[in-house]
Amino acid sequence: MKKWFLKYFIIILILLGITAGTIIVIDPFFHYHKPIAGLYQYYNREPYQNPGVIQHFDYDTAILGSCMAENFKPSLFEELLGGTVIKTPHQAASTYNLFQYASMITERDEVKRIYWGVDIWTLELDPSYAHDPIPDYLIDHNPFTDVEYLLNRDVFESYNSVILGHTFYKTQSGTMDSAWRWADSAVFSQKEALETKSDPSAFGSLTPEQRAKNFQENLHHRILYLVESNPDIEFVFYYPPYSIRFWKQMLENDIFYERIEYIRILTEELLKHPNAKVFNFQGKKDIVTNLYLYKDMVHYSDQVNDYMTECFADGSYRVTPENFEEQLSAFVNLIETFDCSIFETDITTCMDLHEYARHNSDKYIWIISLKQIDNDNEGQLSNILDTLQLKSPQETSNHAYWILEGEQEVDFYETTKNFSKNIDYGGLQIRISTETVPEIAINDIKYSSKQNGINLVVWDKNNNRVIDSININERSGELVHY
Amino acid sequence: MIVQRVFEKYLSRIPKIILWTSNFLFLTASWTLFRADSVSQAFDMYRRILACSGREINDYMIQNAIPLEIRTVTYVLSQLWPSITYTAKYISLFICLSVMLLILKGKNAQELTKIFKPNTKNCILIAVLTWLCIISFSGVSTFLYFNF
Repeated sequence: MKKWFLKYFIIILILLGITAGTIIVIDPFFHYHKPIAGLYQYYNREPYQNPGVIQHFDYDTAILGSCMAENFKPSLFEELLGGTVIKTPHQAASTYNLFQYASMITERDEVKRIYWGVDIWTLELDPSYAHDPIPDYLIDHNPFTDVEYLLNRDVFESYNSVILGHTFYKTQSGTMDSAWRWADSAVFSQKEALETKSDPSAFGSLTPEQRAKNFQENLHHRILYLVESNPDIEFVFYYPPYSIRFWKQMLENDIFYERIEYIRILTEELLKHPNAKVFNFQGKKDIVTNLYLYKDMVHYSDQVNDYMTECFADGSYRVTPENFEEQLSAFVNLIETFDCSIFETDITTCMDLHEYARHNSDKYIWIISLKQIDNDNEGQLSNILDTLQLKSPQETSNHAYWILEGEQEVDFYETTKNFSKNIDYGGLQIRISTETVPEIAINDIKYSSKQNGINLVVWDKNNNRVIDSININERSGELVHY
Repeated sequence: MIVQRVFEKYLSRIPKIILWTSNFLFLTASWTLFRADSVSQAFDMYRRILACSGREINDYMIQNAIPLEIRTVTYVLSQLWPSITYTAKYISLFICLSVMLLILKGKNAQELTKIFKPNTKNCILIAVLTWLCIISFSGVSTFLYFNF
């Protein structure tokens, strides 16, 4: 029996050694070293991997924020602003989450600049509250607690197998641009932005007094503390542009003016510090009132991230002591006066194709694309096109586009294969593509669904905006608003 | 356990399947108290469970509730035979039920200790199981994104 136990313990020790050794070499959380060249980089859980990215990657600039920062492209920062950039966002980050990351970043001597996305409501939370916290064993500098990483079943089985599998199959490795990015799989749609329920004010049921107290503590002991104790690092704070619907809801919930006051106090305090810059994108009307840039009330498309990056480079929307009051008043005025009824019209609620076709009028420009997948379905497709009063393409052509102004067809194109066309129509820069995912973009903003079949985008000439985007299933004729 | 000891005579007359089901429900209900942050939250959970409002369970939650092993089997099967992608989950369910049957019909730990004879085969098996238990102590938590 003694021998049996000896063998038993030796086998266990060997297995534990293999487990720990594999994790040290592959190091999915970058806890011990940078990614090994040639090994697939797998970005999956921010609180577990961000500390390693911060401690071991080469950079002089870091981007922090919540999911609003996840679609930033560090490569675009490098191109426009120079330096070497990492991105360490944290979904639903509290101020304390970002404070933890920023504290680690400031320990690196080479760091020159930190971008910090301010979701103003997170300053109302308890200053010690960490949402989805970083595991202690990754940041406590205690080698003994590393056992939780080295003998971790999820890391050993899931992370290692994904990394080795992708390395073996030579899959395109993750990069700082693709890390944490969700924009490619999201559908940005006015309908979703109008319908999705989200309650960002519901972080517990804090009283206004508690919120004010937490705000002061977050302001002084988290944000200003970092700015003041790191005078050699430039902090760039930015207020991301949530949709008009979010702010309207804040207005309805009687919390809008309180949050504006917090923005005012925070900005005033930051502007007193020479190493702090502030950008405010919340008043950018053509973004916040275009719900096709959102997948819900707050989460905007990657196009907005790119735009913000360009602004960081050229100084647009930078807040200064001179323009601060004017900017904030314009924003408050926009929220108070904007009429959201334009999002819900007869056309946006119409679910019947025949009735929808009757809405076509001189007020609108219809931009329609076709990517037909099922060639055995000509009859139904013809019916749909007849209903919309569109010229049917030849039988061999299963890709096409039409541009209608009222009932008058002003442009038509058909082809047998995928296409991508740029059209300048009366000042509108229209791009219609059926390559990979079908796409209709106007003035560089994508409006159509990413679905095959018929996509139709309605441009309202009077209001200079898209008022509806639908996809029509070529088989069933079913109409879905986006 | 007290109830079981006191009423052993009567309980033995009840079909096993009813006993198992009631035991499972009792454990689920009592563990809810430990899982909840407060008694009121526990009662809120009971209310929601018993309300049977018919709302769908979040697909993401279901995915994360499926053990890694089952997900792996489903994945491997669907990779080997892409045509069975949709039926792979039923194959996984079949495996689960088979394992359950094996557990119910096979000998339990106490019964096994009585017939245990140390040899190389069971040494390796038990060492591997112990290793699995040790590394299962630590995991990566799943992020559930409900209230951004």
